Amino acid sequence: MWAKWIAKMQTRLFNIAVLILLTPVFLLVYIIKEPIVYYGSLNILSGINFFIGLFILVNFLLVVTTMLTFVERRLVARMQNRIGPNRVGPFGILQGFADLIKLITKEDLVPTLANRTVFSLAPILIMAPVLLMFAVIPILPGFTIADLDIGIFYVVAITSLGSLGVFAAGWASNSKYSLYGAVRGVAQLVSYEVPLVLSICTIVLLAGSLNLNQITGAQEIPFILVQPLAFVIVLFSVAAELNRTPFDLNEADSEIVAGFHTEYSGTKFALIYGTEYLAAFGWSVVIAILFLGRLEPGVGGFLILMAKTSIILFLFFWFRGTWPRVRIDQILAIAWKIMFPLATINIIVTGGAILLVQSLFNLKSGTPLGLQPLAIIAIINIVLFVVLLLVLPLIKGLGRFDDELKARGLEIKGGN
Amino acid sequence: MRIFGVGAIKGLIVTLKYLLRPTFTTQYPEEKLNTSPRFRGNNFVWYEERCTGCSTCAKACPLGIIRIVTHPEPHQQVGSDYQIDVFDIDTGRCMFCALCVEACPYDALHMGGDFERADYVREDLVITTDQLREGAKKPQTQFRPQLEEIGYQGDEELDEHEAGRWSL
Repeated sequence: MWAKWIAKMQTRLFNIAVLILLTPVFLLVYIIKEPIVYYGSLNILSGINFFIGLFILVNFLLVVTTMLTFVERRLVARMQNRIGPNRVGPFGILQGFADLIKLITKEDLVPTLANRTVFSLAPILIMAPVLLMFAVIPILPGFTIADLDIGIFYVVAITSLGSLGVFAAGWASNSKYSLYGAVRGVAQLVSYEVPLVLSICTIVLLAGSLNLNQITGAQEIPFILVQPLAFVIVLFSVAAELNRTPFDLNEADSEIVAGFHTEYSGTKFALIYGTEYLAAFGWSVVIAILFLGRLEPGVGGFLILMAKTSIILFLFFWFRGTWPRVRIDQILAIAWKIMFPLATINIIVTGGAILLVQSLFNLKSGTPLGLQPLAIIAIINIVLFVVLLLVLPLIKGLGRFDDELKARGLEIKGGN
Repeated sequence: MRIFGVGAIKGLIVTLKYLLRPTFTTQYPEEKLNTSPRFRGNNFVWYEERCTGCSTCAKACPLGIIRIVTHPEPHQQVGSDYQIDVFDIDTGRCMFCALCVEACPYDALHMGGDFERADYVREDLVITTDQLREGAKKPQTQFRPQLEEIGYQGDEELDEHEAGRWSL
């Protein structure tokens, strides 16, 4: 009887522990944001307002996460000529909440041979970095929880901590499928960090700042036009970082059951599953801020940002509904043979273009670029993008899959 | 001339087309697909007025699941017919071969178009005489060429005059 009671309390305690463990992390952000100079910041998030803001933010994120699970299922279903969940609430809108309630009330199982401490800690390790990412994301111009000067660097650094959680989950489960998934995940995450950071570097070069507020402010032209190549590379690197199709190798359900979260159930699984969508949402906001133009003030501005975010999210869902999973060697080949050289070429060309523009318009280095200089850089980069699209198929050994098919006397019609 | 990434984008356009198409799914309990006129459903349509109690159907049944009990005394109104006390069909063992329907010389027994007769107990699958008397009279056209000739689609109620080859 006591053992049952203890097991029950463990589930409750785990839920509370998540909240307690997350609070100091936010406090830390609160402390480190203090000495930072505000750039036109509203600065209303101080004192008790900070905690109210946090409460609103975290609840908003939870609602968004549960809704996203529903939206993805509906969209992917429609792409497969199905309807998808449409029973819970009008159009099935409440499906995500029903799933969440089911998962929370389920028994919290831990495998006998698992390492209990690490097993329980891993979902928190996976979720915490993603929640922390939202600390620096501006919702309105100058309106963030922590207006860090190293904003985008902080985002990249903190989200790569998630791979630690993935590996902890895979190792602690003491299951071969989990370990395979974790090992694949870490190999993939480490490879895709490099082109991601290199592509973000070009944005930083153009904006002259790592601060996300200043990056949005510098977009006289949306950076997707100025940096089309960087946008594509960031999109795919983020897809790999989020373990989304076509790079969802570490939870490949047709190969290794569910990858690193095979052994998880109940609340812990809800945390891992929710984090997947929370991270997708967070990264979509970051991409929208980096590439899709300026932030506008007011409620309208917030809605515009959400619309931009939805476009990026739709792209991720679209990829999921369309493309098959690639093999582990193909994943690493894409990262190191295609994306890494492309990101390097892109950074060199952008740097050259900025130098050229600065000498043309007599701009001092460090001053923000105006509309005309950005337009010139945009033309140079779009030309580079088109030239690369035409040149890449001519390089032998790049399309490895093509070569394999040719060796067997087969060929795909229409390109690679 | 080949362009990098065109194949991938072609795939994306295919799924986008599918996204805008209507779905194939039918929401079963709310909307039902039409069945064919010759559909052999889980029930039977029986016209007591046409039935003479000759038991040809019971003899034709390979499983022997049709139970007919006739009254010992002759029918008061129609002299040559038997008065039927019991006419049960145990569909729990029926294989819906429709041999009974084919055998019926008076077009009294027809296949029905119902397919939602799942139940929890085997005894409830027996179609009793009362159920046969009161059930919906929507005969299907299996072994009933005269119904097909008039263009009957198996979805209307027919009375005992319309269902047979000759009117009573």
